[in-house]
Amino acid sequence: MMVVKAATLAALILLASLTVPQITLTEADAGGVKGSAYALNQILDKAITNLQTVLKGGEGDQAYEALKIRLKEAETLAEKAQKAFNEGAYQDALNNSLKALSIVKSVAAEIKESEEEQIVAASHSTLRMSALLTNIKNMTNSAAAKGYNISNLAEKLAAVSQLVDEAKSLSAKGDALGAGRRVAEAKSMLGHLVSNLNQAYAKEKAKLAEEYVNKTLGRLFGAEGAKGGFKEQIEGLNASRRQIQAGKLGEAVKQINEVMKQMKKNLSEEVKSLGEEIQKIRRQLNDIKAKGVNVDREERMLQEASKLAEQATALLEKGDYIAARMKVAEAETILQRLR
Amino acid sequence: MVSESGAKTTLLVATLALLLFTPMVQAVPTTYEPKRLTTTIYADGYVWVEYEVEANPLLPSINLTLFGVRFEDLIVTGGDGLILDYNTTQNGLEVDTLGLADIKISYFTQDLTNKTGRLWTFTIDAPVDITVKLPKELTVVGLSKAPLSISSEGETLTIVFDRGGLTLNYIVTPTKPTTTQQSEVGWGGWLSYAALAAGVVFVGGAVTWITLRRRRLAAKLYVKEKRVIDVEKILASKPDLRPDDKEVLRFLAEVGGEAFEAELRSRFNLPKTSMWRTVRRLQREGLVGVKKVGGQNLVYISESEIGGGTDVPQNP
Repeated sequence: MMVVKAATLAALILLASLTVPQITLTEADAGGVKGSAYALNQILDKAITNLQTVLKGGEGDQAYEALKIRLKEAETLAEKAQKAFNEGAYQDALNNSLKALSIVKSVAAEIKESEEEQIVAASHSTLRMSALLTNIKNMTNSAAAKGYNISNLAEKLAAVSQLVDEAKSLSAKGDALGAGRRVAEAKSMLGHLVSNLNQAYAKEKAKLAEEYVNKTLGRLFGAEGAKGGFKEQIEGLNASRRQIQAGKLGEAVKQINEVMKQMKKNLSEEVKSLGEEIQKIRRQLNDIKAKGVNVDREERMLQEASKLAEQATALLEKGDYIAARMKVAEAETILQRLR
Repeated sequence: MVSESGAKTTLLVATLALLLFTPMVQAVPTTYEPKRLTTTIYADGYVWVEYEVEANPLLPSINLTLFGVRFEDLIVTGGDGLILDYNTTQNGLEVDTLGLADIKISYFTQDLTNKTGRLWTFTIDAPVDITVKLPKELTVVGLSKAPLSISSEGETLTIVFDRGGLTLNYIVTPTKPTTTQQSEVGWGGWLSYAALAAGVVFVGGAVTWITLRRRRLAAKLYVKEKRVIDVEKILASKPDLRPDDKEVLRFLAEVGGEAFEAELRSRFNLPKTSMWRTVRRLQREGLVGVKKVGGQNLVYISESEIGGGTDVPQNP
C-alpha cells in the first residue's frame, strides 16, 4: 500500500510540474479601476508566491528570515486588497496592492544573485532567437503567398530551426556555452536570410518606387499654376525613373529622396519670404491708412494672401509639398497685384 | 565541461564584439508616434521592441527614432511584409517607405533594462499605450503605475499600461529545477530511468483514476438532506454579511441546506479560490459547516443556525 501511495504521489508531482498556471480574464475584462486592481492583484499574487519559493531556498539564512517577515506584511496587504476587491472597493484594492508591491520590491532587491538566474538568462537568448525565427518565418510565408520563389530560403530556415532546437536542448541540459554557440550561428544565418529575402523583393520594391515617381509626377503636372516652379523636380524624378528601369534601384531611391528634400527646402524658404513680404506690405498699408487713404480692398487682399501663407505652412508640415507650393503661388499672385 | 572563468571570458569578448559592431543612434523625441507598441522582456536583459507607425504616403522616406540607443536584428517592413531599406542617421533611422503607409519596426535592445543585484528595471517613455510581455521566468516585483489589464498567452504574461513613463521591476525566478552538470548516463541507464518513470506514471495514474472514480461515485451516491430553512431569519441575525455571502446562504437554503462546493462555484460562476474564501468566511461566522464526501467539499448550513441539534448532517 505504501508503494502505491508513493507512486501516486510521484505521479501527481510529475503532473503538477507539467501544469502551467493560467490567469483567467473574467475579472480583468471589466476594465477601468476594477481591471487595474485585478491585474495588480494577479501580479502581486505571482510575485509573493515566487518570492516565497526563492526565500525558502535560503532556509536558515538570518537575512532571509527577516525578508520573510517583511514579505508577510506584503501578504497581509495583498489579502486586504483581495478583500476590498471582493467587496467592490476597487480603488482601495488598488492602493493596498501598490503598497504591498512596494514591499515586495524592497524584498526582491535584497535577494542574492544565483547561478540559476544565469542559466535562465542563457536559455532566454535561445528564446529570443526562436522569436526572431518565427518573425522571419512569417515574412517568408508572406513572400511565398505572393508567389516569390523562396525554396532556397526554406532550406536555410530549416537549418536555423535545427540550430535553435539544438540550442534549446543544450540550454535545458545546462550547457550555456554550447547553446550560445548555436544561437550565434543561428543569428548570423538569419541575418543572411533577411538579406536574401530583401533581394527577392527587389522587383516589388522597384515597382513600388516607380509607382511613387509616377504618382508624384502626375501630381506635379496636375498642379495648375505651379508647373514652372517644379521644373527641377520633374527632371529629377524623370531621371530616377530611368534609373529604376535600368535596374539601379538604390541610386534611384537616393535621387527621389534628394528631389523631395530639395523641394521641401526650397518651399520652406519660399514660405518664409512670403511671410516677410506680407509683413512688409502690411506696414506700408498702415502708413498709407494713417494718411487717410481708404485701403479696405487692399487689406482684404492682404488678408487673403496671409491666409494662403498659413495654409501653405500647414501643408508643408504635412509633407504635401505640391499643394503647399500651389498655395504659395496663389499668395504671390495676390501680393503681385498689391504691389 | 567549460570552466566558469572561460565562460566569463567568452561572454566579455562577445559583449565587446557586440558593442563594436552594433550601430549607434541617438534617441530624440519621435516624429512619428507608434500606433501600437509592444515590448517583450527577456531574462538576458534584452527587450524585443515591436511597433507600428503610419507613414506619410506622400513622402518617399520617413525619419524614425527608436526606443533605446543600440539595436540588433532590426527589421522594417511595409504593411504586407515587404522588407524596407533604411539608413541610420544621427537621430535614428531614415526608412525608404516609397509611399507605403503602414510600417512595422522590430528590433532587440539592451538599453531599456538595467540590473542592480538581483533586481532588474525596465524603463520606457511610451508615447502610446504599451503592451509588456514577460516570459514565465520573469516575476514583476515593482511598478511605477497600475496596469490597465492583464492576460496570459501560453506561458507569457501580457500586461497593458497607458502611455507615459513606465518603470517595471522584475526578478528572474527559475520555474523548474535546472541541471548545471550532466551526469554520465548511458543509453541503458536512460532507458531504465524512462521505463521506471513510465511505470511510476502508469501506476500513479491508475491509482489516481481509481481513487477519483471511487470518490466521484461516493459523491454521486450521496443523498442530500432536504431541510426547510428560514434563511431570512439567519440573515437578519447577521446584518453585516456581504451581499455575495448572503446569496450563497440563500442558495443553500433553496436546495435544502447543503450543496457541494463545486455546485456553488458553478451556480455563482466563481473561481475555486474565490468560492473557497466565501465558504471560509461563512464558516468563521458559524453559519455553515464543511465536510468531505467522496473527496469533495459538502457545504451545509449549520444546525445551530436552523435551531436543530447536531451540527453535522447525517450521512447515508
